[in-house]
Amino acid sequence: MVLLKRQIPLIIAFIAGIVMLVQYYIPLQESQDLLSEFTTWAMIIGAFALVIGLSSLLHMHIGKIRRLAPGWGYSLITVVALVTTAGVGIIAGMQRPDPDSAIYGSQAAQIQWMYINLMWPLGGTMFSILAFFIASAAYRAFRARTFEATVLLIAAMIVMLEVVPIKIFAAIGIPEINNWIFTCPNMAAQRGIMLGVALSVVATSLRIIFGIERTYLGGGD
Amino acid sequence: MEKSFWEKMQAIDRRIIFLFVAIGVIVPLVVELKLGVSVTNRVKNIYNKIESLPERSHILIAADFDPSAAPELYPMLESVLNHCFRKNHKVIVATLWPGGVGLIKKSLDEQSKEYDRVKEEDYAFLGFKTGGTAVVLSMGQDMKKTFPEVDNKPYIDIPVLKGVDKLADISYAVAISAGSPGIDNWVIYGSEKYGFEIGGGCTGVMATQYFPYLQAKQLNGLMGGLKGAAEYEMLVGRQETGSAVKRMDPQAVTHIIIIAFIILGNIAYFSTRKTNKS
Repeated sequence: MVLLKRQIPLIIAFIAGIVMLVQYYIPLQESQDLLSEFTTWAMIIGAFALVIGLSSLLHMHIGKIRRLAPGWGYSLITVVALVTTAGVGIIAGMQRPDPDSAIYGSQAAQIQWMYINLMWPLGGTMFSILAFFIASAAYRAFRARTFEATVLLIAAMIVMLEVVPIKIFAAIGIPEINNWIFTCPNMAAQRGIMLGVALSVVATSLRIIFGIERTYLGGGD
Repeated sequence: MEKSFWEKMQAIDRRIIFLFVAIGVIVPLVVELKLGVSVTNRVKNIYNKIESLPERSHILIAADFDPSAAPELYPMLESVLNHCFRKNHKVIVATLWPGGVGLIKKSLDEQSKEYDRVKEEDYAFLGFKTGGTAVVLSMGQDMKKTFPEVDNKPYIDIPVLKGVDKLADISYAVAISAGSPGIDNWVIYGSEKYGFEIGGGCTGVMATQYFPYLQAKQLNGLMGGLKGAAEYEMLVGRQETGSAVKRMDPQAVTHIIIIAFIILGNIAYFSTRKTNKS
């Protein structure tokens, strides 16, 4: 079992990692073909991840409903929504597509209806609620307690004022200061973050290739 | 001992803040303030690029977002599509987000009708493909292999896709994204690796992270948040029909309300701190 669960995945990760690393530096058609083949595999594996995600979601929520755990009603809504959407999608997908339809997805009009009338407003509502919480959090958190907090507070206010097209703000140079905040301190910080992330990715990748980092194999034996 | 006004302000019920924010959103929607939008060079660069391309150029629009970011990004998608159709470009749309399919279909159907553009002759929607970075890399290698069929038809049979064998064959791309996979994937694994010019559009909170790409000219332009969308609407003359310009008023008023609360909160903080010390 150790061979199947540990050693073979480690060997696959090592070979795939080294091959892709070397491939990047070989400017030959064969090398490009290899990349093409690997990316095809990656897309297929990605599709399997969707299936695993779906089964995991169902497993978790059905378990909660069975145990009548706190918030089981929400789990029930999730499962019902999932089954309904999948059911409508499968039935609509079984209809014969019209290849000469003037619009995309004419054979899945029911799914499009659900998408426009349910998912769209629900998604927008979830995101817009943020505005209320941000307002409340800003009121409590943005206090000029220290020098750093004061700088952050002033920068945040300038950035917020930039989208307010009132002449007085333009006259005192808010758009120019905002632009400076974006292109100087912000960019310097973002570059630092990007470089840090990139170096971490390189380090983590090497740890995975050489079998030092094994958390992706899952816990326990 | 009764609390002073500022002490009460310190512990203000958050529902009062919510109420003010709600009023700040609703009132400008009912009573149009028409505060106006100034156009920045970041957005103008995308407009100018699409404007400068010869007719029937291939433009790829990567719409990597779902309904949760639609209030900010859908107007961007509409305006860019509208602009491309008006200029009679060939439009190819793709998404790396499964939740983006429906809104792309809606937008394509609505915008193409305005200029009588025909599906598969003037535009094509490649659909959703899972894999993120792998999809971008695969498109850079071979589009036909990545999308063997588009809306139940073989890739090679679709007129608008003729001449687009790989990403390098497109004239320009606009990546409108609400997260990952999104602009980063298209810049790092798309335009940088396969050599094509790209512009970006993102939510307001994400805009700051793409400034390094802008300065390095890895992105030729950037539309940030609702303001970016409103700026593009102004450029393409959709300020009356588009939704972003209309939504700028509530956003501006809400920002002023939040700033007012922050100032009040700080006055309350310093007032009560003095009292507490004494």
